[in-house]
Amino acid sequence: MKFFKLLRFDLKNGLLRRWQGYLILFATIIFAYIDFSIRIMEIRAGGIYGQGEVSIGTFLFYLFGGMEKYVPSPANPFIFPALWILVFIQILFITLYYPFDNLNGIGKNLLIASGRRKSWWLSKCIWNISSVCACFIIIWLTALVCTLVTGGELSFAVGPLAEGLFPKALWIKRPMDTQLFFYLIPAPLLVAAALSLVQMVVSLVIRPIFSFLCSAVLLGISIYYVSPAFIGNYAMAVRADSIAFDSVDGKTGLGLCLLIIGVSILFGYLLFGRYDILGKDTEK
Amino acid sequence: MKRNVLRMELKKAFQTKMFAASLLIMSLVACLSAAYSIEVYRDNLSMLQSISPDGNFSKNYMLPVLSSYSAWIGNETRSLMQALFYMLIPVAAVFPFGSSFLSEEKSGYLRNVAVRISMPFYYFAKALACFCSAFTAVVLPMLLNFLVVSAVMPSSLPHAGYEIYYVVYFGDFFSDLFYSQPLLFVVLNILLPGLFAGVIALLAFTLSLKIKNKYVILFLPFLFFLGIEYLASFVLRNVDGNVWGYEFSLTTLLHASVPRGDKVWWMAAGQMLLLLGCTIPVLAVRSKKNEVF
Repeated sequence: MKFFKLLRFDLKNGLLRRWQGYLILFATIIFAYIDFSIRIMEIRAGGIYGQGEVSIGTFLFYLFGGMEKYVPSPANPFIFPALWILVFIQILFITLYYPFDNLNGIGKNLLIASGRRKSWWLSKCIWNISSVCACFIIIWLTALVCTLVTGGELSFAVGPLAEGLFPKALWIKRPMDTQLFFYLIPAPLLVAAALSLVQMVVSLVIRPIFSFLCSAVLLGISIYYVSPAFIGNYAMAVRADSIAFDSVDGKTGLGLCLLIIGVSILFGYLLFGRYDILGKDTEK
Repeated sequence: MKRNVLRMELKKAFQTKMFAASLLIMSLVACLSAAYSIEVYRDNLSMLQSISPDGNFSKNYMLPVLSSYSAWIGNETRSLMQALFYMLIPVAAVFPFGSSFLSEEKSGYLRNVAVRISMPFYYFAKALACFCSAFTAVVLPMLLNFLVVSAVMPSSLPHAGYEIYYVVYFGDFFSDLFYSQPLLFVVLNILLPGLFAGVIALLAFTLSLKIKNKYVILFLPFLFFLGIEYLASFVLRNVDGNVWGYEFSLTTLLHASVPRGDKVWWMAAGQMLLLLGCTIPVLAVRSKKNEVF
């Protein structure tokens, strides 16, 4: 019973009352859709990839496409894919500080009143995953509404124009000829949830600001190196093993994300059992 | 008394763990970038030696390209670390002292200061400390990178014929210096990010007057400049180059060799003035109307 009260409190204060972050994410997605529409117009005007229809899948492919494998050369400087990193950094920032704000304030009293550290930690884990899910619901709903408004198709098939969005990619199979649902919907969500939980666990050891920095650096490394070891790779649709030459295996990604989520919850629980809630002020 | 406050603020700024962490992280990134450049240089060198062990080349192997001036972090474009360094400048700028005002306000320290010294001077000392710590946290790692790279690679004068390899084109600001006075070019390209870092720290100080969440103060400039980077990539791709072709994202503008838009001096100066215009007047007004009690 106490656990559900804690959870309700977390969802109310950590999710509903922190709407500003979600609003900025919503604005980013709207802007990304405008950017996407202009890109599509250019691709159609070029005529190389035909005049196919745009779908919600095409937009999600653009949003979570990430970047083709980087090949170093003087003529090809390395620049981060700003949109992809901006979306993930925003999600990770939204889930960064609530647990520790809470622990420095009223959360300390709630934790003592509940009498169980386990409840507090599990409640924060559920809040964390719920926050990530809320971010993705905003992304999906915004994509859905924008697609409907612009007369696009309500389908997860990416269409032939998707190839033009990532002209440097080496395809082994055309994106339009494969099912990319996993890379468009569950994969980015799972990667964001796994990173967000790891960030929360790491925040128990080092300050939250440094754990956020670690997450940002990990995203950067994932962009630069196409490797199954760097989790960000699984959130880039353009590196899906079914279409790209330089790719990562989706099933491995699914397993790795679930493993990271499980281990983070368990390891965080063990760490939080020994965490000094009175002596450590993460605000300092 | 005023001198003591100034000295104390500067001492606090340079003795925080956050300043040490900032300096350490940026130095690590800068050294890794240097390591990448040196590795590329050694690969090239061994390839040249295998082609001609006696040093007589029958073809042009573009030796001036293998220069420390084209391999230091400000001109190196291929490693992850150079991109990370420029992306993290807003973080490194704000970490050392950007949220100090908020901490002092929350702890009640500000009230103790208010009864001892005029608030405008306290604000001035705080702003100066913010600026200096941010400047140092960015400039020292860049300097370290240049010194490490120069210790291994020859500092040969860049040849204008190879501009596509240096990616410093005519018309980019300071580009004429790159081909005539490269050391001065390097110094200016180290100072410029340092100055911007200082101004970004002032921006964080200004934000802390209104925003009372430390995490937001520390990362809002970073998220803002990331957003500007996306906006710049959008504008430069979609707007006709004859209408607007100027680079305005600081992440790219401050890097001497990332070719996306035209790099013009007035864009850097304009952004500097804009940021100063958003911070200095606000701080000046607030310092006179500050109600700490």
